[in-house]
Amino acid sequence: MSGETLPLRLPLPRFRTREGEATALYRELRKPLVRYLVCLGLSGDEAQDVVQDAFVSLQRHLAAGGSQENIRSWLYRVAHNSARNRQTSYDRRFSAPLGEVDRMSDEATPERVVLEKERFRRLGEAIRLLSERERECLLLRGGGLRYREIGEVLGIPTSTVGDTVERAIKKLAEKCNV
Amino acid sequence: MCDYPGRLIAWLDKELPEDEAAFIERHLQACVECQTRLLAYEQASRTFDAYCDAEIASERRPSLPRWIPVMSASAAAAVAVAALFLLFPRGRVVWPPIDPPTAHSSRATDPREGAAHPVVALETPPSAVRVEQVDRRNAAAPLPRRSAGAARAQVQQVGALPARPAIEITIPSDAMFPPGAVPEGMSFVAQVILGADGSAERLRLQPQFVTWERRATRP
Repeated sequence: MSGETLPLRLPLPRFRTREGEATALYRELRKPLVRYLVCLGLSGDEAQDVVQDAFVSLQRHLAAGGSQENIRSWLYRVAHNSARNRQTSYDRRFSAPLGEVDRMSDEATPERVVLEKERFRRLGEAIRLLSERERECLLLRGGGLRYREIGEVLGIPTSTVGDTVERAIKKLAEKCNV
Repeated sequence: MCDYPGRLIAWLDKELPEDEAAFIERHLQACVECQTRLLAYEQASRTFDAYCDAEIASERRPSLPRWIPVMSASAAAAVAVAALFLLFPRGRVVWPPIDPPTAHSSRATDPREGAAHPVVALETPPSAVRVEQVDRRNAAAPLPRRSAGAARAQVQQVGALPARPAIEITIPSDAMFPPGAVPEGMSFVAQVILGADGSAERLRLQPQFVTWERRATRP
């Protein structure tokens, strides 16, 4: 009885003590993760599936005594790789959701809506001209990740993240003349 | 030409060490060019995030087939009419007085009922929903606690059961459906068949064109 069950049972008490933290992580990170994945090109349903799978993997990871450091970037990395494995295309995203501009503010005047639509249209063009890596960096940055975490997710040095973010923002600013 | 714009974005993201961040802050106070750039970077960053939010919103709001909102509106209208009668269950329905014939002012006056209860009291403004109380023949006086049999007998004495619905509620289509979902001029009439004891027995919702269209077809 002992030989097989012992390695499985040992990490459990440790995981149980972290159960509340895992729930809090789920509440905190589910929406940003879905947002990131949808902007990567997944459909809403696909993104929800990937996020669920990522949290199941997290539970297994913790139950197996895996590292509890940098859980946020760990989750993003798992979700990111899972999305990449689905071979999604960026072409499905950043298609200028101009219809949403109308719904973004109740107080918007028609003139403001027109200006905002034009800005969105130009921004959409600028985003499509960015490289995949630049978009990924901006999306992860928009999700509140530090450069170090972005580097962990994408497997690149922190300094490269800084350079990539800088380059991408400059491109957007120049293209949109904002 | 200023050499610091590259560090501005890292400063914006609080990714610089303290001493370098302090240096950039001092520089920003003096350099108008960098202030302008910083504003542009901030705005580009914010717009990118707003763009992503719009992407998410459009993903959550897939375009529905045209019949889905129509069906939803029909269901909502049916629920609304049903809720109207659920709010006034059998025990609270009283026979209405003859006068006044306005739906909003009709109130029971039976002291045993305590506070007066509205017979028909719609919160919707009259312009949106028109209520016609057709059957007032049996409302000569408040007749509380009558048995169903007694009520039926009196109805037969004064002229048999009404062949038409006791209450008709005409609902303009634009109160229930999105613009363009229903042909112009179409209204809906909720017909409520009252039972002998004043309770709603049947409910029928049927479309009806407004009068001016009918007139147009006359020779």
